Parts: sequence; C-alpha cells; structure tokens
Amino acid sequence: MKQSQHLLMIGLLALLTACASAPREEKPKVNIYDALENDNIQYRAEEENQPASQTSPEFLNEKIGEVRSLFFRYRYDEATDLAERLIRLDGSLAEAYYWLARIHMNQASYQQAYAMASKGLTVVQDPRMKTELERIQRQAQMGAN
Amino acid sequence: MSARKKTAKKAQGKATAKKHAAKQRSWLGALFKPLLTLLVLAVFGLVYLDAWMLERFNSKKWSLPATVYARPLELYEGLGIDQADVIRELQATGFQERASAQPGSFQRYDDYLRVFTHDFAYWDGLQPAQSLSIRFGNGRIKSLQAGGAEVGIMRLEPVEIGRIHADKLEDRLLVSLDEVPPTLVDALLATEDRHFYQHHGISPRAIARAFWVNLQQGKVVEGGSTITQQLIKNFFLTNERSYWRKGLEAIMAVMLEWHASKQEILEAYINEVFVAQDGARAIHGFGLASQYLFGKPLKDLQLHQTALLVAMMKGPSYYNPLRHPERARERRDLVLKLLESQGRITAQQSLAARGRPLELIDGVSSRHVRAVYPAYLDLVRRQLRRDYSEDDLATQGLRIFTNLDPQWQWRAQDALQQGVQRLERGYGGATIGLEGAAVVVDHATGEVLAMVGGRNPRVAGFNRALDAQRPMGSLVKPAVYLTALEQGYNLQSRLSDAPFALPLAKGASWAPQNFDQVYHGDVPLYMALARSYNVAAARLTQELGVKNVAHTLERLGLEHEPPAVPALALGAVDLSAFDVAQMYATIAAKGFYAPLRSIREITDAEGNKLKRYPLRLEQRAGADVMYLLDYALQNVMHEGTGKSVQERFAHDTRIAGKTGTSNDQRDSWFAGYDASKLVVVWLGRDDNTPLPISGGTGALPVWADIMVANRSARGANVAPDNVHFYWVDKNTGKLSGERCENAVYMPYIDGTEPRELATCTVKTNSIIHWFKKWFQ
Repeated sequence: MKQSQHLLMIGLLALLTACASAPREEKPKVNIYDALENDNIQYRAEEENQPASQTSPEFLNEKIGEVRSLFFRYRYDEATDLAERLIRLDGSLAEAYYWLARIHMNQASYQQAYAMASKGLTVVQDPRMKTELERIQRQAQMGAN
Repeated sequence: MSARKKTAKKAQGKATAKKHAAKQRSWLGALFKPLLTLLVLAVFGLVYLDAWMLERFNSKKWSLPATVYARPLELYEGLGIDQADVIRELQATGFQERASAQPGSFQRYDDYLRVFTHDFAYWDGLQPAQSLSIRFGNGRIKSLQAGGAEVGIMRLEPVEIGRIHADKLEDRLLVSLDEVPPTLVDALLATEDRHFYQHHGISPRAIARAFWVNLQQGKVVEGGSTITQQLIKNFFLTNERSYWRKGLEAIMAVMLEWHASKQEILEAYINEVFVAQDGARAIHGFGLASQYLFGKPLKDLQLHQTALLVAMMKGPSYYNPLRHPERARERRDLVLKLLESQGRITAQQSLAARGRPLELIDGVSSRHVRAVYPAYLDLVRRQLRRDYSEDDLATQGLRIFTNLDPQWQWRAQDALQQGVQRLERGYGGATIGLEGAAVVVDHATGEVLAMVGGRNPRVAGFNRALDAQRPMGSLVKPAVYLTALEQGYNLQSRLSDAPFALPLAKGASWAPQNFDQVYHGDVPLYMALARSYNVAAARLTQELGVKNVAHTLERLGLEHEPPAVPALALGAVDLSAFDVAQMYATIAAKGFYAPLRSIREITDAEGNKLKRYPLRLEQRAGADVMYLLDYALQNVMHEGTGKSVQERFAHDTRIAGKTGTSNDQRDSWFAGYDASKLVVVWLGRDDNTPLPISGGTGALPVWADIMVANRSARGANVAPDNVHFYWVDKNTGKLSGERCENAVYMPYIDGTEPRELATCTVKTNSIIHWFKKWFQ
C-alpha cells in the first residue's frame, strides 16, 4: 500500500517537473521542412490500398486466365460474362476491366472500351497493367475519332 | 264401260300418278338443296373447327407466366458467408434438411454442410445435379467440393422470387408425362375416367350411367365426361351447362382423339387442370400444385400425396387442404380406397397411405415466395416493360434472372423494420406511422441487389423506394461541392458560413439557416460538407452558378436536370430512394455512371438466351475530383454528421456517405457506401407530416445496420496520378507537417495545393498536454 502511494507521488512529481520546465509562452518553433521530412507519401498511399477482395489472388488469376483464353478464341459473350462475374466478386479487379475494354475494342464499341479502360485505371495497382490500360485508352480514343 | 273409256281412265290415272310423282320430286328437290347446303356448311364448319382446335392444341397450349429468379449464390473458397446464411438461402429455394441424400436437400454438421442440388438450366448452360460439400471457418468458406473433388466456384440454384401473370392470374409449372408418378395417373384414371384407354373421346357407357343417375336424382349431378371431354371444356369451351355446349364438347373430343395420342391428351390434362386457388392466383396443373402444397417436384411425390392432388380436383376450394385439412384427408382416403377397389394398389399400400398425414410444406414456404419481395419485383417489371410486352411476359414462359441478392434483401428488410420500430418506441407517438424505403446497389456494376418499399416489406402496394418522391435535403450537397472542386476549389478552400440573404422577386428574400441555427464563419470546404452547413452551401452555389450545380446533378444520374432555383443548394428537388441510389452510385464508383439494373439475363422457356443486360459505363466526372469528393464524404463519417456509427465498422473499412434532412424534418435520409456496396435509406411519413428525427438520428442507424455486415467492404482506393497528399493546417489551409499541431493529411489535385507555410507548433504527448493545460 505504502509502496504504491510512493510510486504515485513520484509519478506526479515527475509530471509537475515536466510541466514546470516548459515555459508557458515559448512554443518550440521548428523548420516546416523538418516536419515534412517525416512525411512519407508513398507509405500513406500504400496504407490506403487495403486488401481488395475476399477471394484468393490465385483464384482470380485463374479466372482471368479463362477470360483471356475465351477472348483469344473470339468467344466474346462468354468472356464478357465471366469478366463481369469477376467484377461482382471484386470491383477493383483491374484485369477484368482490361479484358472488357479489349472485347469492346474488338467489337468496335470504342466508347465502352474507353470507359472500361478508364475505370480500370482508377483501381489498377500493377504498373504494367496500368501501362496496358493507358494504351487501350489511347487506342479507343483513336478508334472513336 | 267401253275399252276406250277404260283406256282413257288408265291414261288419266297415269297422268295423276305422274303429276303426284312430279310433285314429290319437286318437294324432295326443294328439301335437298337446303339440306345439301347445310351439310356442306356443317362439313366446312367441322373442318374449320378441327383445324382451329388442332392449331391451338399444338402451337400454344398454355399461357405460361414468366418466372423471376434471384441471383444464383456463387460459392467459392474464401467467400465471406456463414453456414446459417447458406442454409437460409437453401430453405428459401425450397431445399429441405433430410437425412437421405436426394436432390433438393441438405445435411448440416458443425462447420460443414452437404448440399444435393437439382439440375438447373442457367442462361449459360445446364448445371447438373451435384453433391456439394462446404466447410466453413471464421465466417468464410474454407473449402468447397463437388462430387468429392475440389472446385473453384459453384452456383447454388437461385431462389424463385415471383412470376409474372396475365390478368387472369393463371399459374402453372409444366411437366412432361415421364415426370408424373404412375400413382398419380392411376388415381386420376380411377376417379375421372376408368375406361380412358378404351374409348374414342366419349364414353357411351359413362353417358348412359350419368343419364340414369341424373334421372333418379331429378337433377344434373353427374356429367359422364371423359378426360378428353374435360380437357376440351377446360381448354376451348366454357362451364355453361347446355346441350349445345355438351354436343360440341363431344364432337371436339372425338376430333381430338383422332389427332392426338392418349399420352398427349393425358399430359395436356395434367398440365391444364385447375387444382387450387391461392389468393388471386389460380394454381393449374399438378406440377405447380405439387410445389405449392409439398414444396417439391411432382416426380418426388408419394402415393398419399398424389392421391391428395387428385382428391382436390372435385372441389379445389372445398377440399383445400390448407383450409380444410380434415375434409381433404377424408377425400384423399376415399381416392385411395377407390384405387384399392379397382386393384390398382394393394390393400396394404392403401392402408399405409391412409395412415400418413397430409405432409404439406410448412412455414415460409415456396407457395408464398411470390409475395416476398414485391418492391423488387415491381422494379423488375418496370425494367422489363422497356423490352417486352405484357402479353409476352405473361404467356411465353420467359425465365428472368435478376440481380436480387437475398442475403442483402433480408438484411435490408430486417434493418428497416427494426429501425422503424426502434424509433417508434424511442419517440413515442411522435413517430407513429413512420414509413421507410431502402435500396442496395453494387456500385461497381450498377446492379440493384435489394429493394424495400415499406416497413412491411412483404406487402405489395405503394412502392416507396420507386414512387415516394421526396425532397432530398442535404443529400444534394456532394453535387454542390463536386461542382466547386471542378471549378478549382480544393478541400481546404475557405467558405463563408456567415448570415446571407438572397433578394427574390417582389421584395422578398431567401435567408437559409443552419440546422443548429448557428453561423460558423469561415470554414474549410471539407468541413462544410462533413457538418452539412446550409449557409455555406447556399453561398457557394450562388458563386458556382445554380445552373452548374443542376447540371452536375444530372451528370451524376438524375434523369432530368432539376430546376435551377437557389433552394436547390439545400436539396429542394424531389427524388425517390432509387433516384438517389443512381446518383450516389456514380459518386461511389468515382464518377463512373452505370445505369442501375435489376435484370441480368432472360431466356425463353427452353433455356435459349434472349437478352443480356451487360455492364455499361460512362465517365461523368474526372477521377481526380471524385477522389477528393470521396475523401470528403469519408470525413463525414469521421468528424461529421455520420460520426455516430463510425465505431460500428472495422477501423480499416472505408465508409463514406451523407445525411439528408428535409424542411421541418419531414424526411430522414442517408446515402452511404463502402468499397463495394451502396445503401440508401429513407424514412418519413406517407402524409408528409414533420418528424422528430434527422438524417443522422433516423436513417443513419438503419443504414449502419444494413451495411455493417458487408464482408466485401474493403477495397483498393488508388489515388490518381495527379493527386497527392499534403500535411496542411486545418485552421488556415496552409502547408504544415505531420508533427505540427492541427495538421491534417489531405489530397490535392496537382496545382491546387497550398504554397504558403503555416506556423508549426510541434505536437506534444496528449496526456502531458492535458496536465500542462490543467496546471496553466
């Protein structure tokens, strides 16, 4: 009991000393750039990008592979159906938008191709996929013109 | 008498005979022509009747209502779903928990479920009946097997959510003869037409017997009609009791027997016959009757059940087993005894079947399924009308696959009902008569997952989600601030929330007030939105141009540009919850407009694809400004009017939204979203009287109840290339640093970021700071 009272007193004294040691009006001014140095934009941006989906990446990759395969066999209806199914499972799956954009390109539906590629760009995280989406976006723009 | 006289008399006699014969011939001739004409007409009539009857019999036998399905539940490893949720969905589809493995059943273990599905024809092909093994863990599917092998993804057959009938409300489910249990055919023939396979459409023996019975009774008590005659009557004629109708029926029965086989006639009869009345809906055919009464396909029925179906035919209302179980059971037992007496079943079988209870489906059964989601079905109907005529919908047997997600629908219904009850309890009489509506959307695809049209979601009637057009209040503000961001404002731009009066015509003026009746001076844009300051929004709208704000609203998804009046800034535009959902879906999808869709695919009765409703996107606002607006709407949940529910969500769930309260608190709104779903909730009274609730105290908790269970709430939030974050002082909007007091981390579109530096006071430990202040 006595020991705990002593500890409490010591703690309070330490706090009072700390408070007393800080002058009332003098707030430490620091160079703004020192504060900015600690700012890690990249780190913050990564924090924003939480795990996108409850489905495993392997599963999604496998299904994207199926979409790709259907696309190259000109089975656009099935490929579209599957890509849309994947978007339902994970709305931020950039690859699904990419293949939808390519399907629309091949069907000369340039406005939709452009919109799908643009949508893909709002969710894409992989730089290579981003480049691809930008390429489709440009092609769609040219097609539409 | 001379010979000449005799000859003359003879000649006279001959002439008279000739005259008589001629007279007779002219009589016959006169009769012959009309008779011949009549005969020719009769022959033509019969030929026409025959052709007409045959054409109708062969081409389109029945009006088949369109069947509307929910989305199929897609199962895969990792899917966030509980065992209980899967079971609830299975039960809604008509699956039953059984020890034996048969299609349409399931078995439940601790963390494990075995499901035996039926064959089901989807728009993209048939999924054969399977035995599925689903293992659960931590609220997710841990493993999924079909037929003992691991599978990536499997569909569970969808819940039937309704049917679209013609005005007659005649409903049926077609079955082929090979799906009909032999016991049903036996019972049918035993009771209705025991010489069916011997006669040619009419049975003189049966007619004679009926005549004798009727004579004895002194009234018509027996018809003597064969199954073929009954079919003719049901199919082509009326119930009129006349000799003309009876004669025509007999002629047509003979004709039909001439063309159609006994099996075809029997199959047609089994699908045509009226078996029960369910409210306004007439249940025709044993296929639907089986589902209606027993919740299973006709082919799975047992003797005592088929006997009940046949028993009901004598008087579908009188022998309705749901209303008169004892009466129905007596009649069923009579049919079983008749079967026994005719040697169609053994005495033992008869006794065993008579010992069985009626075994009707109980609880929330498939027979009530059509009435479960009237608001959503209403939306489906309206969207279908754009592409199909009412006649096609009611008669062609279309199969309509919708986006309704039963899990979300149940959640929305429960939350709305409980929320309304909670408010009624909390506020006493002041909230009596409170109504509501809710819409749930997958904002990536524009698919409408759920819709609730009132506090009693099973009751069809006024669909508030679609038809209650109410002032949107502060829900309009994101459109105001989006217009500002597009015009070069940033989230820290200072807005004035000082007294303001706009001169109107005839010397009047408009002076908007804040909800708290306080003016807040200069406030940053993001805070004005978070705290829903009316004066700041009204002033800003004047600066931006009301017309521009109205145009932004149209771009976000309103069907028409609203009138450009000053009060638009405070939501003086009437919208339904569905309209609001369209607008906020565009915001949630970062500026990509996708028309809200309730339908996915349509096939014909044979499963051929007729129409697909694909994903269509249109970018209506830049990704950069939408990213900023999204950030500001997230802040509504952190330090604005949505703050009260923030703690109910996991810390890493990104939720955003906006409250709305109309003048005099007549309407309470909340529209909010996470990474995958958007939910809009409206509460108010049908008579538009004021309420003691705001958007934050009424609709918001209901919204949170619906949204909090979303298991796909997390998602990537990628900043566009031209958007970067900066630490800024929240009081001045100037550049600051992470360790500076009052520093907030804000996104800026390149070129709009602040250049001036704020004075930085380094943050100290908050407890020490508190002690310091206390001692100072």
